[in-house]
Order: sequence, then structure tokens, then C-alpha cells
Amino acid sequence: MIWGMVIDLKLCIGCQACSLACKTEYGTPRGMYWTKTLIDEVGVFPNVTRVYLPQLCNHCEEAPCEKTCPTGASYTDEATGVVLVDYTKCMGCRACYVACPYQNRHYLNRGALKGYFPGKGLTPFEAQSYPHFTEGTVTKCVGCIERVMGGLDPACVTNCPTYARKFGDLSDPNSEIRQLIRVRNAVQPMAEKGTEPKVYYIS
Amino acid sequence: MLHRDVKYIEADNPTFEVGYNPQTEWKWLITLAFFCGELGAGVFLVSLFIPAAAAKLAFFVALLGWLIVAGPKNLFHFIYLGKPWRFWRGLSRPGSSWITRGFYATFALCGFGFLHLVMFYDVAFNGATPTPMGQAIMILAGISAFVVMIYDGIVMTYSPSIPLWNNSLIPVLRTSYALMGGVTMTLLVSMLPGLAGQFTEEQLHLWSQIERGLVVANMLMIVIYVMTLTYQVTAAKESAYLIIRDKYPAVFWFGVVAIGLIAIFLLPILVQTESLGLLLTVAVFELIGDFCILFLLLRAGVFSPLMPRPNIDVALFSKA
Repeated sequence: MIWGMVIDLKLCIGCQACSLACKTEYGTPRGMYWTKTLIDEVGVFPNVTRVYLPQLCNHCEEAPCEKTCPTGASYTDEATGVVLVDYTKCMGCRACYVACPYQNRHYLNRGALKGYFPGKGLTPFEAQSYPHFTEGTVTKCVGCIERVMGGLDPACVTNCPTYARKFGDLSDPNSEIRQLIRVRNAVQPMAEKGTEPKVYYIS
Repeated sequence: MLHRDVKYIEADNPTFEVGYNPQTEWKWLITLAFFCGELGAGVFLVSLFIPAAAAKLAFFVALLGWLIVAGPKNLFHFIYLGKPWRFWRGLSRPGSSWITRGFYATFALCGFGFLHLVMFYDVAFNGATPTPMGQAIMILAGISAFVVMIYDGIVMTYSPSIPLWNNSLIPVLRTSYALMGGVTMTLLVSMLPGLAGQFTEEQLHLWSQIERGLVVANMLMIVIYVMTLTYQVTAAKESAYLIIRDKYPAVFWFGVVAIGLIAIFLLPILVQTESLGLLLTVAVFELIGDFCILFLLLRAGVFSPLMPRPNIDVALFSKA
């Protein structure tokens, strides 16, 4: 299967349940969100509205982060098409960070894994999740690959209360997301960059 | 036209708002590493074009360039890395990564440059004739120096995310600055005690003219570069706005333009005599200007906003 996601902007209410679900699933350090919903206010009073843009790593087909990586730490998982980082190879040059148009690469500074309560040690939750991270390397959304391989949807999809996020197999022409892409004229974010994202938006 | 359509988000205050996010990871250390790399490689490359009659001068200029690359450039890169002792892994992707290619070029310059210095020592101090092997090594070192000069500009150009960098003028501009630094340092070294007299008056005049030509070329390129920014996507306009008016105008107008270009162009004309004091002043000003432009390129780089201004009639919402 090829990992793919369709996000319905009409359904998103900006509740950030996806952001919290991701944090709960992976225990990302303070200030780091692998997925989040951006908020913008448009218009002039009294004709104003808020718009929301759920955003995560797009696991691009032509990932610029992977191309610029000098160590081969950034790679695409052949089985799922998910772009991953091998923390044991990353040397922390942050070339991927500046190459990603979607700003979805995060660098773990030295000292970033000190926890939410400085001087108080790690909470049991942090103590369990932080060993998965390595300071001095770049980290990113892993597409919940282990959940997906186990037959589950990514955490952000499962926890979306409005079903704004749909997950599926891009390689299957009959999958729900392929049909949504076809029927509702889905668009890719910043398609002009030529990165071929695997996340699509419909509205 | 320079304007803001969405807000600039300060690096130390990240929010979930849509805006122009500055790149926050390539800061002081990478600026210093790029600066030293371009300057050192420029100095080394220029030394290869110094006439044979001034071989002693050529040796010391090449040594200076080699030391800048082998020492500070490599050191700044090393301490910048999150996992410095994994630096060797950076050699594994020459097929797609310009950082890897830059690594190879830097190592090649360190190696071939050292061999060139060793083999050129006899030519410079004992009057020996250059050997074919020595000349081959010199050519290899020169090619490596050229790649070191240009690769970080290409690394920046290859970032599709930051429109300020995603501009083909960057490698040309940085190469031109590297050459200007090389010529300036050559003129400065030529005035040092013990090396004065290596250049004849005509040669000194010629090299000064070359430097002025490079200053004019850089000035034109900066004007064209800033103009092209104002005709590009909004993030490029935002970068131009940050550089010229909003966040870094002092660095640009004073550091890059006044000191880094106008002063070094006018000083030799106003002072009239080529002296160590004058060339030292010009060299310091040139280095300040060179550093300031690189600083601006790195600091004023903002990502394109993830959400463009929606093209919707918001009046529809009030009717709904």
C-alpha cells in the first residue's frame, strides 16, 4: 500500500485534536508538533472568518528533504511510501529543514529532551517516549507507520472528531481517498514546488 | 511593490498562526562556515593567477587561503553539526546532495592544496621550475577551490522552500564576492613587510582595477537581485522588505552598501596612494560587507506561507 491522506477543509473545525493525538501517540518534546492545524483570520470587520489548515508531513514522492540529505538518513520506506529519518545516520546538518517547503522538519537541540517541568525530571510519559528521540538530530512525522502496518489508521485520523482526515491507499484506484481525489478535485499543497505530496486537500 | 499580506512570525514566538516563518536553523555558525569557505577558497584560487615573478607572494596568499578553509571553515561546520562525529556520513550522497559534493570539494582542497603548497615551496623560495606533476596538482586544487567557492550558493539555491535563496543569482553573487575577497587579500598580503615589491607598480594598479571591477559587478548584482525579489512570490518580497526596510536595514545599507561596496570603491580613489594602512582598511571593510550580505541572505530567508490568502469573498460568510 502507498500511504495517502485527504483532508476535507470544509469539515475541519480547528480543534487541534489531531495535534494532541499525535503528541499523545509519540510524546514529541515541548514546542514540537508533527501535525498541527494552522489558523488564519481573513476579511475585514464585520465580514471576517477563520480558516483552518490541518498540516503534517506530506511524505512527498519527490521529497526535497530526502534529496538534500547528505547522509542518507532521510529515506522513503519502499513498502508504504512514508518518508522517515534514521536517527542513527543523521548528523544534524539541517539541510532537510531548510529544504522542506512545508516546514515539517524539526531539529532537536541539545537539551530539548529535558521535559515539560524543568528541574523536576521526566514524567512517566516522557520517560517512556523520549528514548525514541535523539538530541542533535532532525525528526519528523512518521506517518504512524507502525499503526498503519498493524492495520490501523494514523492517530490524527482516528482522533479527528469531524472525520476531516481520511486515510487510505493511494495505489488502490478504488480506495476512498482515490475517489475523493478524483470526484472532489483534490489539490496538493504547493504543487508548484514539484514535490508530489501524498496529502491532498478538498474543500 | 513591497508590502505584507500576512504577518511576519518572530522566530522565538512560534504560533499556529499563518505567516512568514523565518528559517531558524542556519544561523551564526553556518554563516561563519560559509563565509570562511568562500573567502578562503577565493583567496586560494586567486593565488593561482598571481604572475610567476611574484611566486613568493603567491605562496603566502595560497597558504592564507588554505589555512582559512582547513581551519575555521571546517571547524565551524564541525561544531555546527548536531552530531559532529558523524560528519563522515555526509560523504555518502554525492549523487543528489550538494552538501556532500561540497564536503568532497573541501577535502580535495585541503589535500591538493597542501600538496600544492609543499610542491610550490621550492618554486617560491628556491627559484625551481614548476614540474608537470606540480602543475596538475595546482589545477586540481584550483578546481576544488572553485567548487568550494560556489557550492554553498548552490546548496541555498536548491532549497525550494525559501524563495530568497531559490534564486540562480545566489551562486554567482557569492562567487563574485569570494573572488573580490581573494583579490583584496592578495593586495593586502602584497603590502606586508617582506613581500612588498613582489608586485610591480603596474601589477598593483592592474589588481586594484580588477578589485574595483568586482565591486561594481557586485553592486550591480545586488541591485538586480533585490529587484528580482520584488517581482517574485510574496515570501521573496517579504525577505526584500526585511532586508531593506523592516528588520535589517542598518546591516544592508550601512554594512553591505556603504562600507562593503561604496567605501571600498571610493577609498583608493580618494586616498590616491597604495599603502598598507589603506589596503588594511579596504580589506576589513570588504570582509564586513561580505559577511553582512551572507548574514542577510541567511537571516532574511523566510518560508512561503503554508496557507496563501484564500481567494474567497468573505461577504458570503456574513450572509450564510
